[in-house]
Amino acid sequence: MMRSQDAVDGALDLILAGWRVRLVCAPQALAQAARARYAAFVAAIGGPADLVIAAAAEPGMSPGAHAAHMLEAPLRPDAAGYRLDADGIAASIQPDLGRATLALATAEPLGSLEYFLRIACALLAFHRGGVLLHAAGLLAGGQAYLFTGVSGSGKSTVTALSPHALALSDDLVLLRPGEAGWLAHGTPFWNPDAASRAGQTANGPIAGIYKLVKAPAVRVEPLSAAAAAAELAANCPVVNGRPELLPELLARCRDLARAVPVRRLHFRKDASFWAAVNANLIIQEVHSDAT
Amino acid sequence: MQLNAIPAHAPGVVSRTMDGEAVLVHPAQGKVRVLNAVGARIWELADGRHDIAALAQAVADEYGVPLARTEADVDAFCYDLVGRGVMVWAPA
Repeated sequence: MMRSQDAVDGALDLILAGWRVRLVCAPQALAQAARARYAAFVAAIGGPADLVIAAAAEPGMSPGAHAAHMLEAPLRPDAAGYRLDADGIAASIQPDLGRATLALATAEPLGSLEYFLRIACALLAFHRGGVLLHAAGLLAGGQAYLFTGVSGSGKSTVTALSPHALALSDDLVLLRPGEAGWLAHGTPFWNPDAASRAGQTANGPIAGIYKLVKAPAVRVEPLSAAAAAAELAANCPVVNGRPELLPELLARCRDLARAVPVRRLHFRKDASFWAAVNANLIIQEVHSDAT
Repeated sequence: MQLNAIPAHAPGVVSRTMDGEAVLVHPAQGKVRVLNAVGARIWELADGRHDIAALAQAVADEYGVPLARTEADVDAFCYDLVGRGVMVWAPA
């Protein structure tokens, strides 16, 4: 049993999209490593946490166990929430109760903690009315533009081609509904080779969500309600793999697609897509004003 | 064509209709698909109790298209979805 002082020393609060996630880590080395990695999101401990993750890393190495195994390990529902078990990893998460446990016997405990944090954030966001979206997010002119697509479709490219914009993330953004509409929030979840994470703690109202398609000519193509919802659902990791969550996920994606323009963006490997995006948004506003 | 084959939704597939189109999610496959209006109507009719002939008759009546062509199209559509794992053949 940990002494109360150990619990305080090994604890850190992260503010992710306004949700307070408390990591209680053992040993101290894991807590210190997490504090360094997530420094931009660390807040003073205090107040109720939306999710408490008790993470314990055991010494030793489980051959072949690394962070990627956690992504491949399926979540299994149990009476209280979900379990995740893989080589060197035993975890539980109860989103409704706001708690999770993670026991690690891996060579890369911080990497494994990161991947579990992604899973936990996906479930936390979903249970609180939002979603974790697999997308690159860019903040420009005070508004967030999100770009979805499979690996290699150009998410990192559009990020690199947008020096005027602040990148919220090149991989995962948190979407949270608010009184004034949906907001996109930056996250600590990036591709390993990201050059800068300057916008990871920023947020903004969503101007549009764009499914990327590489093409010789730049254009913005509307999507039907079903196609828009499908694109969003396909990019909500973790949740879209849970059958019991799918009816609500589809309803939420339908609602999100009604609130925010979801389009297909045909783009070349240059910054010309911004003109098409902005022109399409102007047309969208004109139509809205006319109706 | 096997017009007496009976299509049904594959277990685990979750669907929702939006503006006449259907979104299908197969969590085990990690796939999300969209069916257009006609496909969504066939999906709705594929309840595991009616064979392809009955589905085709319903579609032909609703859309005013020739039955022979509709039978071929519905048959191909159902076989395609069975091949993709979102439909199964129910026992006769």
